Amino acid sequence: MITAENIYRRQGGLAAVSVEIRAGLVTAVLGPNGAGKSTLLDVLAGRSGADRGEVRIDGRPIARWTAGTLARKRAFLPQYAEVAFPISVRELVTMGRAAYRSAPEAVLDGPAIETALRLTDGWHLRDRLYQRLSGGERQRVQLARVIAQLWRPPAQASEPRMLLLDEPTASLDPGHRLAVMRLLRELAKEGLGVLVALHDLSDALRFTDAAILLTSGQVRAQGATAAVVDGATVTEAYGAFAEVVHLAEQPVVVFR
Amino acid sequence: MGNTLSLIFPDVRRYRPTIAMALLALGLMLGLVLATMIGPLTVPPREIGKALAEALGLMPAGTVDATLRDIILDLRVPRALSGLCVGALLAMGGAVMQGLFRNPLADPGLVGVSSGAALAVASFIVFGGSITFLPANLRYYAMPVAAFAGGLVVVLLVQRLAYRDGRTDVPTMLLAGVAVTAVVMAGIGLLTFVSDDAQLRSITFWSLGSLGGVGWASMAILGPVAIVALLISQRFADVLDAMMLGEREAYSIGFEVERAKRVMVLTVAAGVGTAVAFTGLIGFVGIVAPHMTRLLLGATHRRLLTGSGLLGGLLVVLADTACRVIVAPAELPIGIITSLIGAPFFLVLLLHQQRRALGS
Repeated sequence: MITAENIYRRQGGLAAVSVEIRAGLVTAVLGPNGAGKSTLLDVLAGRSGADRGEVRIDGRPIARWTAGTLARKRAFLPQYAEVAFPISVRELVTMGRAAYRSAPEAVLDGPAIETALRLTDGWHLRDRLYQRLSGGERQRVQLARVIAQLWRPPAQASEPRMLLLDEPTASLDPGHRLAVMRLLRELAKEGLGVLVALHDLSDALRFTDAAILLTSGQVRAQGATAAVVDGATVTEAYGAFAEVVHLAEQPVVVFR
Repeated sequence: MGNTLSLIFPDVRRYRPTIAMALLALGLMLGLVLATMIGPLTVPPREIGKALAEALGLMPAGTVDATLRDIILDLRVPRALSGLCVGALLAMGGAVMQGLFRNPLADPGLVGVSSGAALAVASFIVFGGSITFLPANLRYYAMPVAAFAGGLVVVLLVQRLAYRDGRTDVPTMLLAGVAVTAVVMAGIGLLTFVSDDAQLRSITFWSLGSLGGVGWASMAILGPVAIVALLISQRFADVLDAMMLGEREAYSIGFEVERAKRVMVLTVAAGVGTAVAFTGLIGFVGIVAPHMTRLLLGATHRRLLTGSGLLGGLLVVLADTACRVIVAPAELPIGIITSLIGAPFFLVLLLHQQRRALGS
């Protein structure tokens, strides 16, 4: 479990944010551009420090974790992912297993990589060059990389793990977008704590359990997603008139 | 052709890097033999074999003509081996720097190793007449030590400038490297201004590089340093791979990036500093060799670092051989050859790659 209490960070403008990533739940981070979603994710993943407040993982301050032990517990999918040199998809996903190098778990690299690529519909891309993939394909194989990082065989599926994703569906087609959102639900059902920054509020309503809505680095609303994403709150936060309607028995956020 | 080949050997693609690496090692062997054969006096390979066997005590002394043996064992073999080590150090340094800066155009000189060494050497040449207090057998090492120290001091300064809030900022390090290099070059300019003609000539020749001064005495240092650098850089292979994704991604995957960055820069500074100390500046090997190796073996660093070492060694050994032949009995500075051939070749590679990327 990741808990953050009263986080301040000047660069990125976070103020008094408290949040919990709980096992078995998908939590959404919502908010307009520049609200501090990425900054919050970075702080929670230990990639940036907080000026005030503390992030703890399983009760221990995040600064006291070594990068290696932390990597076996939490994975992070960045919003932009450029790879500096031409490498194959398989080599990229293999990097996700770096924390298990020269450990007994290294024997699981093969199954972890294959499972992760199959889950994200990327197995057929495994021998392609990453640089030759389309934007959506890149996003999927990057997702495979972070899933491979946390993958456990069924016998160890109860080990607590946290997955943080920064807009994982931003450049995906509708079919793959739904597949990825469903995959996040599946991962939560296996016991992972999932925190995902999203722009699609309808997806948030449909696929996430809890939500935190940020505007200018401050928490505007927090709690069960259905309570956070309501017409009045969303209208105020995004500055566009919004309404939650039901279409084909799915909640949908319509902006006017 | 490729298709037929893959019909016969379905796994040819998977073994391609292994085959390429083997060919590279073979090419290096041939290059070393060639470098030992060619010179003002051509030595037949048979005699090389005999001289080596004699030196190792496998054959009784006196089977090879004494002059020939001296040429082989005291001049050409140590020079070829030193060339191998120097090329390997420069190329591995380049490969590490390119990985660290996530840029295929980075070279070890970027963080100031070469310019720092050059300033120290220029000072040494201009003011160094007073080192007569050193015993004669240590005097040979005085200039290399100065070069090494100069390179290291400048790199430490650059790294210090880029250090903020507990981390080394890589883009700042690049800019600091450029700025500090400019200041150092001004210092070298001043020194050339106050130097006399002979000193000026020494400074110029040093900055064009030459293997003319190497022998077993330099090999005794270059050899171990090259081996240690290869072993240490292999330890960075994983973190350099991860850094292709970005520094913070490398941390998220589980690497202590800060420590790795510091150790990598110092290793490169020490390795390249040692190479430069004995031979002066040899341009372009640090960029071209890793770039070519990436095309041959792929970009993952476990293979790239070793491959760059082999290819860099081969390039310097061949270039040095050319230097000895082209204007014999005089010798061309090696930096002229490596830049003259290296730069256009590099350009062709870049353009070819660009066209292929656009065509796909």
